[in-house]
Amino acid sequence: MISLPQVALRNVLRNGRRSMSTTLSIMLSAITILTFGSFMRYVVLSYQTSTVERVGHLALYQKGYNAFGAGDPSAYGIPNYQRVVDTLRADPQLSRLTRVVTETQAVFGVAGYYPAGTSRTFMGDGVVPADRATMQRWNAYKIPEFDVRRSAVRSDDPESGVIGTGLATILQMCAPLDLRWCAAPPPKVQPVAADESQFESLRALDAPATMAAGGAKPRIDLLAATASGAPNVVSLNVERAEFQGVKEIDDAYVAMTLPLAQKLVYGRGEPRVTSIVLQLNDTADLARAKKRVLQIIRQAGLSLEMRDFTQIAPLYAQTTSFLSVIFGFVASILGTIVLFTVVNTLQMTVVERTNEIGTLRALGVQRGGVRNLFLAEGLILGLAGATLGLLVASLLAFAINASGLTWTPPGAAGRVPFRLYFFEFPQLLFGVWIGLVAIVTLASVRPANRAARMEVVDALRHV
Amino acid sequence: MLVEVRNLIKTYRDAKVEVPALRGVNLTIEPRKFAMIVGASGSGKTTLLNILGCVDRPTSGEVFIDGVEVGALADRDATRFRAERIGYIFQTFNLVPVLSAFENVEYVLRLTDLSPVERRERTLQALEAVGVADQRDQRPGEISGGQRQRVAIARALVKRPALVLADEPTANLDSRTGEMIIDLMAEMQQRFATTFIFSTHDRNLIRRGEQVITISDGRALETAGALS
Repeated sequence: MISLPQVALRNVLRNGRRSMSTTLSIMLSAITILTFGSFMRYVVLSYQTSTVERVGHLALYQKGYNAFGAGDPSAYGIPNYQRVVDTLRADPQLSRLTRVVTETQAVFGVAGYYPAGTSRTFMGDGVVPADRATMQRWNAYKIPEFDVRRSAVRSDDPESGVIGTGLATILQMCAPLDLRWCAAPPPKVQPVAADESQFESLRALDAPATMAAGGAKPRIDLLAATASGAPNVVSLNVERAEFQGVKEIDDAYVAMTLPLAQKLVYGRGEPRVTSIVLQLNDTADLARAKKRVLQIIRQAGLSLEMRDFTQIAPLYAQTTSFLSVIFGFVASILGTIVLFTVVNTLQMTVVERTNEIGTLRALGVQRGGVRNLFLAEGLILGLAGATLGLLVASLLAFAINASGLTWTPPGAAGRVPFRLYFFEFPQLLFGVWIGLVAIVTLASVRPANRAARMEVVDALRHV
Repeated sequence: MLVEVRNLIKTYRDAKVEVPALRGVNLTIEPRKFAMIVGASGSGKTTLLNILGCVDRPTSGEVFIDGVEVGALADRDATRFRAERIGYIFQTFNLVPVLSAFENVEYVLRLTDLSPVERRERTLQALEAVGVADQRDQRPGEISGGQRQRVAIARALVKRPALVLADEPTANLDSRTGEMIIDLMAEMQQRFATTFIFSTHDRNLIRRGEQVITISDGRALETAGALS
C-alpha cells in the first residue's frame, strides 16, 4: 500500500539529476549559513566573554561621569561606595542574579620603566583582587580559551599589579617579565638631549623603581594627577603581563589593587571609586538585573547612573550588529537562491508531468490531492537538502575545530583559534534547518497550485 | 438507462474563433452494454467521451450518467463522481510511471472508503482477471504496451464502476494486441457486468460493439442498437 510521501519520494528520485542539483543547492546554502552563523556566534560570544570578564555586565557611576569624568575622574568618584556595594550585595533578588559586585577605580596617566628608559600613557583599573579573579573566570559559554585566564593582581601585596602584554613590550619589560615571544627592540636612535633639569622635580617625588624588594618582580612608576591637580607617583610591582584581548587596551592597560589606585588618584583625600561593577551569572538576566538595580538606586536616593557592557564597550555592540547585518544579508541571498531554484525545479516538473496530472485528476484525485503531491515533493527536497547540509556542516565544523586553525580578529593583539560554535548553538541548527525547509515548502506552493489548477481535459491533451 | 445525452452542444472558444465540436448530440446507452463511438479523427469522439467522463463540461444540453446530471456538478463533486463511478482507459495507457502495476491499480481504490485489506484483495483480483498478476511488482517502463493496457483495464475496473470509458484504447498497439485487448475488454464487461464505451476510428472493430454510435461532424448517428 503506497502512501502520498512514498509517491512523492519516488517522483523526486525519478528526476534524479534535477533533484540532486536542487538538493545540492539547498545543502550548500545550509552549509554556508550554518558555518558562517556558527563562526559569527563564536566571535560574538568570545567577544562578549572577554568584555564581561573585564568590565562586568553593569556599572554604576556618579552622575555625569560618562560625559565629563574623563577630564576630571577624581571629581566624579562615588563617595561612600562601600554602603552602595553592601546594599547591592544584600538585595535578595539581585544576589540571585549576580556573581560579583565590586568596585573599581579608573586611572589614567604615564607609566615609566626606568631601567629601559621607556614610558607610555596608560589606562588602568584599581580592582579588588579577589573580585577581579572571580570576574575573570566568567565563562558562561564555556569557550576553551577563556578557561585558563587568571588575574595575578594579588591581595596580599597592595602594590602588586598586572600590565598588558602590549604595554610590557612597549616598556621593554620582556626580559624581566620573561616574555619569550617578545622581539628584541631595534637599536635606539638617540634623541637630541633635552633639558634634563625640567624633570628633576618629578624625579624627586619618588626614587626610580627597578625591582621590588628581594628583586623578584620588576617595578614601574605610575604618574597621574590627583584630585587637587597635583602630580602623584606610585610604584607598581608587576606580577606579570596579561594579554587583554584587544590590542588598543593591551598596549596601555595596567591593573592594580584598589588601594594603590586610590592612593594615586586621591592621595591622602577621601578614597572613592569610579564605578561599582556587577557581573551576572548569565547575560540573559541583564534586563531583570538592570530593572532591580534602578529600583535600588531610586529607593536609596543615590545620584548614580547605570550603563551595561554594550554601552561601556560600544565596539561590542557595533561588532555584533555588523555581524548580524552581514549574516542576515548572506542568509537572505542564499534563501532567495534556494527559493528560485526550487520554484524552477518544480515548475519544470509540473510541465513535464502535465499528462500525469490530468490522469490523476481523471481518475478522481481532487485538486487538493495534486497540490499535496507537489508540496510533498518540495518538502522532501527541502528535508533532504537541509538535513544533508546540517550533516556536512557538522563534519566541517568538527574538522575546523580540530584543525587548530588560527586567525587575528579585528583589533586583536594576536592570533586566536578559528572556531565554529556549532554544536553549542542548537538554536542556529534548528533555525536554519526549519528555515530552509520552510522556504523550500513555500517555494513549492506556486508550482503545486499551478498543478492543482490545471483543467483535466487540457492536461490530458498535453503532449 | 445508464447514459442519456440530450441535445449536447460543445463549442471551443478562444479569443477570436469558435470551434463547434458537438452540435446537438442525443443518445442513450443501456446498462451493461459494450458500446462504441466511431468516427474520423476530429469528429468529436474524444470530446463526447470527455463530457461523459465528467472531465469536460457541455456548452449546453444535458448529460445524465446513472441518473445524475453530470454537466451540472461542481468540480469537487464531479471529481468524486469520477472516483466512484467511472473507470478510464486511455489511448497512451497513462499509468503513473513511479508506481508498480499493483500500485497503479490500487491507487484509485485509495480514493474510496475501502479498507487496506479489501483494496489489496480487489487489486490482486483485477490484475489476475486481466492476466498481469505476475507483473504486479513491475513498473510501467518494465512491461510491454499490451501489458500496460491490461494494467490500465484492471485500474479502470477495480473500483467496479458503473461506466468504463476507453478513448481509442488500441490505437497505440499492434493489430494483434489490439484485438486481444478488445477481447479482454468484452470479457471484462461481461464478467464485471459493467458498461463499456470506447471510441475508435478503426472501422474493423465496429462488429465488436453491441451498440455503435457514429459521430460525424459533431453529430451522433446510431448504426446499431437504439437510435439517437
